[in-house]
Amino acid sequence: MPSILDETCNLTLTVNGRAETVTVPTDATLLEVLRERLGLMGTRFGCGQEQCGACMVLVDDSPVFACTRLVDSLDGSEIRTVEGLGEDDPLIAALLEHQAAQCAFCLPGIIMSAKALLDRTPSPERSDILEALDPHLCRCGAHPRIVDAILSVAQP
Amino acid sequence: MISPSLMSAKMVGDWIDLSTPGTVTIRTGKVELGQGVLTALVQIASETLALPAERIEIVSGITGATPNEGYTAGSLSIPHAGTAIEAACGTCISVMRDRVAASMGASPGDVTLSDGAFHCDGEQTDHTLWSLAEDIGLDFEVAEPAQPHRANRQPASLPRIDLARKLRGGGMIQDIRTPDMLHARVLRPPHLGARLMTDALSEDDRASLVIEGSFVAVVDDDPLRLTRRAQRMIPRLKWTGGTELTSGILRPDALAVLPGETIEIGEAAESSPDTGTVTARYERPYLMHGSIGCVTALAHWSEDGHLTVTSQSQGPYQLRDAIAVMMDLGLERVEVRHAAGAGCYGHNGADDVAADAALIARHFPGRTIRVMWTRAEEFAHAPLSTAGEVEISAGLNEAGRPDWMTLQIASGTHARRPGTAPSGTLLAELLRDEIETLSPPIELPEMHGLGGLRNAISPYGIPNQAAALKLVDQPGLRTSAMRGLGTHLNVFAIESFIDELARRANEDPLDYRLSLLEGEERASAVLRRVAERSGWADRPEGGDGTGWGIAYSRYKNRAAYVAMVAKISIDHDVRIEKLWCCADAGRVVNMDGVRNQIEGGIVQSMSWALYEEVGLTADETLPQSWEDYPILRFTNLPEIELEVVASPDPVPLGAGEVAVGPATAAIANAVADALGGPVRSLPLSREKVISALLET
Ligand code: FES
Ligand code: FES
Repeated sequence: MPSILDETCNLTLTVNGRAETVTVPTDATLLEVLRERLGLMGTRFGCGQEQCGACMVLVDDSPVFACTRLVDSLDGSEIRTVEGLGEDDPLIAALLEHQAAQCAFCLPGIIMSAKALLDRTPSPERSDILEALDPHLCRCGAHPRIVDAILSVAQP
Repeated sequence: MISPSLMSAKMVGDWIDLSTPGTVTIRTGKVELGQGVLTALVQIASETLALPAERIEIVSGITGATPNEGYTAGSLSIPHAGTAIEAACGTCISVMRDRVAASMGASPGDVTLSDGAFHCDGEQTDHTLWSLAEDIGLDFEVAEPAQPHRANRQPASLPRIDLARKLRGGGMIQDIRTPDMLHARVLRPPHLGARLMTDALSEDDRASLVIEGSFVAVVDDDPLRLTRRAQRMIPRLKWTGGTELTSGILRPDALAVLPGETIEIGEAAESSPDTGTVTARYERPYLMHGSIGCVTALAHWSEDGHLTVTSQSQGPYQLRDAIAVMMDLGLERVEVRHAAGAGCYGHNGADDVAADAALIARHFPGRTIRVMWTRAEEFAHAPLSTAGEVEISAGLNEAGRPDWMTLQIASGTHARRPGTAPSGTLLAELLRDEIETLSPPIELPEMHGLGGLRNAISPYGIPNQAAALKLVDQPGLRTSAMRGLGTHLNVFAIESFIDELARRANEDPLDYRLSLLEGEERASAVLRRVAERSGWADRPEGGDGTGWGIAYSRYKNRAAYVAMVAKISIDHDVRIEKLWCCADAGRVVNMDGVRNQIEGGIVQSMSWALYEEVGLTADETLPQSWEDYPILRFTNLPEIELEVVASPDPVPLGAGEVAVGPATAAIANAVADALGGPVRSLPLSREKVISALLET
């Protein structure tokens, strides 16, 4: 009996502007590929069930749960992770300025959702930010600072 | 002794390493849990040594290499480690200054330290911290300072030294990979005490697994293949026995009927002439840690039989000792090294996953074993925070104030960490040895601020107060420490009760509290201040779906003073509109760090107050996912206004746990204000609100 474990495929993905070729099981998720094949540790595993947002990345500029998105559906898509943000990224600078974290485990995913929001809506209201971050859980209670930091980079 | 941390690490050289010229390395047994402790400790060293923070490195939580400071818990890191590091740095400078003065024929008062170099009469000398460390060593005892070395400093806020890296991913235990790594997962029984039916497994399956007793693990060099193999193996494992859970056992009122040993504190003569006795019962459900990241550990068993464990545990030394017992090893053969994980708020699965990795590692000498729990393991197998029930009685005098007050508490233990029993505190050990009964529940001693009895004596000027805790052994449930231990339930109960008494006396709850706090200046000050900031005096009357509540507590009755006002609205669900907090946390080292900790405590407590409750899933198991255990979301976030007041205290009082009691209590009192009567059971969910409405 052939095992599903042996069914692998070769895929080429575009991650942060670079083409990456990987060999993975046919049912591999984007999160598995990012962390375990490409060594990009910014995208985190929190639940694997679309319930915490720790794994959020951008696929063609929209936030996507990497923990359940199968890679074989991503041919030709542009994937962006926190590692793709520049050295002087204003959102990261604002989060540091506000010291908007405790453990910071939730932050890379939140940063990607906030990016997508700010790209779409450069001057969001507080309520827009709360809506955009609703897929994300933070157990340390850093919420107030995170929201303030994002508000501070909103264009007036 | 100014800090208990100095008991086992008496020498300056235990805390400071000056072997690399230009750099000061500080050693601490306290560990980073997301609370920013290492930043605060670097700041203390930097200020005491008058050296820029960039030149200070910190090494934390390595058995054998850093002081044994016990658990990083109880809001005690700055009071203990901070005080010790300050004294060690201060002693180091003063001994060296004397030495420089003697060699220059000057008086110590003429010697100053700047950027690590000693100056005499304003002229630079040849002596530096590093040259003197080489000359005289650091083998001298840390002296108790006449006054804090950093006295009179304004609280500053060194930014977190670890954040820039963590925001971009990386820097956590989950992210460590080594070339020799094997990935492993433990396959777990459906409930505590269930045993593996080994005979039901095929030869091949048995050969592919690590099995010791009922401890079963899958190991693979590819983490992707590991997940898939584990998924396929789970249905093939058969289990027998153990304690099946029922939803009845999870209800707080089940604690009343279960047996338990009773522990008493305080003294109450319930006999004084009173104008009536008032009694009320309050309860809280079981809660979960719910860290966003899944606990992870690495273990390496060397060819010569030494075990190195990398762990996010709160107590590396206690974990080392427990693993050594479990694996029957001498302490010298086990090293535990701390690495930061996702936020930790108590005894979660961190120690358990380390024991998992350790047990597996012995099967694979020379390889690094990595175990990361799944979300379902986090929820259904990590220790829970116990439910509890409190009955408060008070005898009232003519003025409507209590002459005496008693609390009868029933709860499970808050203390089942490694170190609380000689063995059996690690899940892997229970599985391997097929142990059905957990170590007996214990109550922490007064020295550690008590457990279920924490804050069970109210802070008010009530002449006779006593509390009794029935420590219940709950079958099938493993409970242990979570943020604040008993303080959450007890402060919720006492502060709700005080509001009920104020209502009976027809007095404003603020004035009623202040009248019971006469002579307690700092307590009254935070209450008055929070009232002023929130506009308490001008608040609208409760009802019509809105309400205001106030609460006060002093953590452990000896640490920070915290007062809180909550404004809520009810439209089916309770919504917190705004929360004001005023805290006196003693001397503040890192103001932003203290604020961040208190804010976090408030948000977590809001979540406990409104949303959290462990129940059984449709399959009669403990929760498996966030869907089974909802917590506060961004869209539930109110505005929070926090003031940390300038404190007269020369010592730091801690911050991490001080807000969880009063935050929930203020919210509950606001709900009572809106409804015209109390909801005495947490969480303040839609169902509870409706049934309270039907009662009033
Ligand atoms: S890990 Fe993807 S949502 Fe939690
Ligand atoms: S900062 Fe710890 S989970 Fe958000």
